[in-house]
Amino acid sequence: MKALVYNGPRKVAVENVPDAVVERATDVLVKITSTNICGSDLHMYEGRTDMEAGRILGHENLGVVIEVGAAVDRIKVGDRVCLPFNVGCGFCANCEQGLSGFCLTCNPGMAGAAYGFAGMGPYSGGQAELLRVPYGDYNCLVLPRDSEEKESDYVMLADIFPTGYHATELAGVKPGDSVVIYGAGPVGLMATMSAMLKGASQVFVVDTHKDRLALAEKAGAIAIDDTEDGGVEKIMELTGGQGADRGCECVGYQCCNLHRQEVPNLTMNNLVKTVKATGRIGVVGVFVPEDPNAEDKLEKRGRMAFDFGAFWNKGQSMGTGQANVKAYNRLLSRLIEKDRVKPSWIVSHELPLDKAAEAYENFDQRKKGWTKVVLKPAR
Amino acid sequence: MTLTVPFENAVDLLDADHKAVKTMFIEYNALCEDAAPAATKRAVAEKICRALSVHTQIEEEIFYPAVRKVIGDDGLMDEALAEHAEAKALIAEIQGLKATSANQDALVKKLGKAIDEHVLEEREQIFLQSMQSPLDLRGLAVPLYERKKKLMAAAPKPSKEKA
Repeated sequence: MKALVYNGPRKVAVENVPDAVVERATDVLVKITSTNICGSDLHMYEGRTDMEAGRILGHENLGVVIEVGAAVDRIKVGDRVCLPFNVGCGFCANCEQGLSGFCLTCNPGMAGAAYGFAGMGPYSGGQAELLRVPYGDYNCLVLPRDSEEKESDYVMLADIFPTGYHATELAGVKPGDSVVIYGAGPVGLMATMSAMLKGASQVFVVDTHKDRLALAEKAGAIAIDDTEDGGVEKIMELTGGQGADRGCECVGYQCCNLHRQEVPNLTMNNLVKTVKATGRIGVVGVFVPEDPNAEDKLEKRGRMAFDFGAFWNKGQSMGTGQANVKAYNRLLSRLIEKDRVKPSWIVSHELPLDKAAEAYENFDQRKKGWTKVVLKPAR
Repeated sequence: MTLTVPFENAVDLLDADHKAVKTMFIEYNALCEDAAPAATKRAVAEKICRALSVHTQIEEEIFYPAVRKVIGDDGLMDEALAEHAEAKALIAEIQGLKATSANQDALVKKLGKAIDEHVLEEREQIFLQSMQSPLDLRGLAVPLYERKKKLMAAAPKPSKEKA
């Protein structure tokens, strides 16, 4: 089969590799029809993880089931399924509680497994023609009947829609709340959409990329252009000096200042400044326990200078971690089915798998207009 | 008298060692960047060596033979043993250094990198396959724990280790 293979920093290529197959009786084999490039793929692309060369990337996957293992009951050949980026077993202490992003058995020693991701288990990614899905009965979301025509909407259920929604859940967004969201990338835009869905009174989205801020405005947010570094003051003024009720971090450890220099604590400390006293912050941007290739000395050790004094003084609280996609994907799929939301509005490019390498290059450089790429391997 | 074993199974017990040693390697690298005194670095290096020596020994005596019997992948287990042998050679080299040796930083970093790679493979291959096999991982935790306690008690304590 053809697949996008990681060959080292900024070196990816579509290559012929051995077909994915059913390896265990609980597996399902999916022919991939849509698979996204995610901002977190770029951490690996840029060589900022310990991803091994030769592995297939891609954790935002959707396709058609073409084979099921002998122990699979629920999923049938021909089902159109969207796969949460998390790989879970369904029977460990965390999966039992709905915390499928922190499965204790699929990636022994670590909490949480994923497809095609550094340190998240041996599972190949889905930027390929075929994908092996472990514990298929548990991990597949069977899509509604309209899924073919709305495929670019439903594929967002694999990761970024639930992840954006998770940011608002971690932050505890309620109707009437004002919300400040750092990052107008795909996850930040999905968090914006989720906050609007939940009835937020005002949503501020902070970024330095004008094309992305324009999308946030389209979703009903107030765009805060931080290129001149005055974002904090603007938000404080618009919230009457109090700060927003809730804050969401949708950038992560490679966040940059206006000169595109990495300042790992920039968004976290700005959130402490722009969220009100007693407000809550949800952090879904990726942070890592060790980052040997970073410039910053603290960042190398997985640390940051966090304004804990102000955080404590303001009585703020925080929720962190990757989304448990299965906790939300079924409900969010109904919003797509009933035309309440159309998450594909952020898609800038739909490309065949063969164009994946150049898509990575353009997306990595944050080229104007490259907000979200959906690859179509089956085309 | 039997010990109370706090670990649910052999994988939890062995991976707790991996996590503890990883923290020590991060600490060592931080000490290098901060130009810490040689004695402080030496204490961490000795602690790493001691923890890894005990860990590799209980794996080789108890865990690996049991896994090998069940999963039937000699190639995988031989590779793990070869990686252990490489690590043990580095450990011996570090232990044989004088406290002020200029080679220590490079050797500890090399060991850290080798351990990172070994742990990743062990988690993704050996642990995962053993969990999906009929092996009694809960039962195996008991002899592993007992042997570890015994070996740790017998291991020489570094003289300048900080509490």
